[in-house]
Amino acid sequence: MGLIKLSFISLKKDLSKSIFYFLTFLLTTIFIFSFFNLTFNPGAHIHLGKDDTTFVTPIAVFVIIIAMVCVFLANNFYVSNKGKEISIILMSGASVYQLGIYLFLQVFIIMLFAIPLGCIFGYLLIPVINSVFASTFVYQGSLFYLADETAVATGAILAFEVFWCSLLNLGYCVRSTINAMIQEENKITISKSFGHISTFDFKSRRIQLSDKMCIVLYILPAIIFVFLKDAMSFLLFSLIGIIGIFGIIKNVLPNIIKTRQRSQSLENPIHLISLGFFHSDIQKVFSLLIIILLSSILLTCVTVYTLKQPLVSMVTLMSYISVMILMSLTIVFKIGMELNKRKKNFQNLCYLGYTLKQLKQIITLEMQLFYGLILFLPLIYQIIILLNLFLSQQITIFLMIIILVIQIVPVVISYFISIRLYNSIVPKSIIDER
Amino acid sequence: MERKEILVADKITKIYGIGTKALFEALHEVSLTMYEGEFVCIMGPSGAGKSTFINNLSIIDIPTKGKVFINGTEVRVMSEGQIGKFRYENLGFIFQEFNLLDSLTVFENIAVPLTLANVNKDEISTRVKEVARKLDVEQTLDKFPSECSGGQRQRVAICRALVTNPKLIIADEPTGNLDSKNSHEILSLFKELNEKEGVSILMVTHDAKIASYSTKLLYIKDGVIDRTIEREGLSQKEYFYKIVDINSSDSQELFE
Repeated sequence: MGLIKLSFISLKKDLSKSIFYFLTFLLTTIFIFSFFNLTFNPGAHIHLGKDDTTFVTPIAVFVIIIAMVCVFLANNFYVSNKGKEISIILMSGASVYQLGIYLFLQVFIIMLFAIPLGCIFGYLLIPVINSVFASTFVYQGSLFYLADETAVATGAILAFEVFWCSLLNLGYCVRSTINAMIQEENKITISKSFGHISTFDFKSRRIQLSDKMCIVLYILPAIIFVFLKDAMSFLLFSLIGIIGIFGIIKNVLPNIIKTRQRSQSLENPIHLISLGFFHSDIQKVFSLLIIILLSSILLTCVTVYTLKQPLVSMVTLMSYISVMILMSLTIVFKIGMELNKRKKNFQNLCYLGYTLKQLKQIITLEMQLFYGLILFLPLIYQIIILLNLFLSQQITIFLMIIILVIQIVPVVISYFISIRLYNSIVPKSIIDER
Repeated sequence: MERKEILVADKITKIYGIGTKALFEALHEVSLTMYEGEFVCIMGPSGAGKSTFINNLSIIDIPTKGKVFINGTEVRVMSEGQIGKFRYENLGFIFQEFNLLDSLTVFENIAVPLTLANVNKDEISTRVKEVARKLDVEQTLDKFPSECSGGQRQRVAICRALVTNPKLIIADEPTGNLDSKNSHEILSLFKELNEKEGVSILMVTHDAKIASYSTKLLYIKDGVIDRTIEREGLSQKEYFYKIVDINSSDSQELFE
């Protein structure tokens, strides 16, 4: 059987493994397409690039980077899940070049379905976006306007992604030993890719921030927000708050968990395990947590800051939606990746004497803590900022609700998906009957 | 003095794949009576039914036919809640893969069965430290399992199994992931627990040297107990040679 045919057969057999990859590509395509179409719309008066005096260019770069990180993660998950398959092909005598083609074909087929579908959805979304835009801000362009540059820019970004992913996959095959692939080790993880973020240690000699200081840095901007009237100040003070959030997740929360586990939680079998899992979740998705929390706060501040430039504000809102959906999806998937390990943990907890009801309580508490963190840390800032602006009649109630919905809905949906995924790995009986 | 029965298996049969074409009888009417303070080892070739047997004896699995009594209680009639309670009160499990929770520290891992048993936090702390001291892992209490060596992790798993003072320790290939030095240390510890503290141990192993620490050996073959040896007055060396003989008899038959 030729390698090309084998590639098609493997893709057909492992359709479930491709779903996240496909979804990420589909969503990325929709967002990039819609984003470029709006920014290239002459009616929007947005100058992407050199002449840009607004926030549009940095936001565009930010959204594209986020989209690429998500695709990178999805690609990494897809390929590293195929470690055993790849190693068997290598052991059978295939060259790295042949393996590169084998993986490229699979990725290419997924993209072949995801990209056109994403463009179609993106096209169908144009009137919806413009209608929302027209009802929220002042927009007098055509509702169905499709810019010529949209397809070119979208195509260029996606082609770059395909090239980048293929190169990464080839790199994975070259640097991984057969044994490592069989053991599914040697995965590229987001925390490794963003290593500089996670190694930025508040306890190090360079920057010494105590737990109390981190909490103060988080709470202080929230208090100041109540008295601020200038939208630019929200942005500046939120940057201080982000340092506080970083410290809270990196140091404060783990310390609180540790203290709780040695005190009250020691007498509660549900809390003891849930807190342990919660701590582990924070560490595993630390970089993603920081990205999503930072995005929520900064994009809210930029949206309200650019209110006088409605089109820019709209682009920011769109970016906010894109980032929230893509990051939520990625976090759900990252959590899903950890579940295989948890399956064994749950089986072990049954051996120790936990009942199925207790296991479900552990899952619920862990997920409530995890998604509660993602939801409420930025939400407190957002509510204060938006209420302040609403009461001073700088924003409409409609815009306030839109921003809160963008923040809450993806996180709540992610919570329910994670609970569902999680419950699927709980043993059906505490008796391991096979 | 009459010895007290701690575990009784009465003609247990385990059939896999019921309702499918691939029916497989892993155990056939196997019976065993284990007395308090015994150290029983189960050996046999791969696929003989050792793990199935130990799983059925320790309520990890339930037999298709037959009955299992632990401390006089028939396990099949228990509800889920009762099984859970029974496990943390009466049994201590030790596995080849250690099965520690990576998200908890060593202290918390050892504390889990006590937490389930509603023991107060001060007593938990005292008992965890006490058992950790006994097994020489006191210095690792604040570490996560990933920060410990294989030998330390298995000691932690033993601490967790012992912390509730269970009636019976179930160990499935407890030294399978350890080097010979650590294996010897762990088995010496088992022997000490068995001899000095009267802890009953039921262990599966492939290794004749490890099995020689037990007081009784069951050799399982094709789903039935093929042979039983009691150590009685034998030295460990003599007992070891007897175990080697049993294990090699299959291979000898092959050349005859």
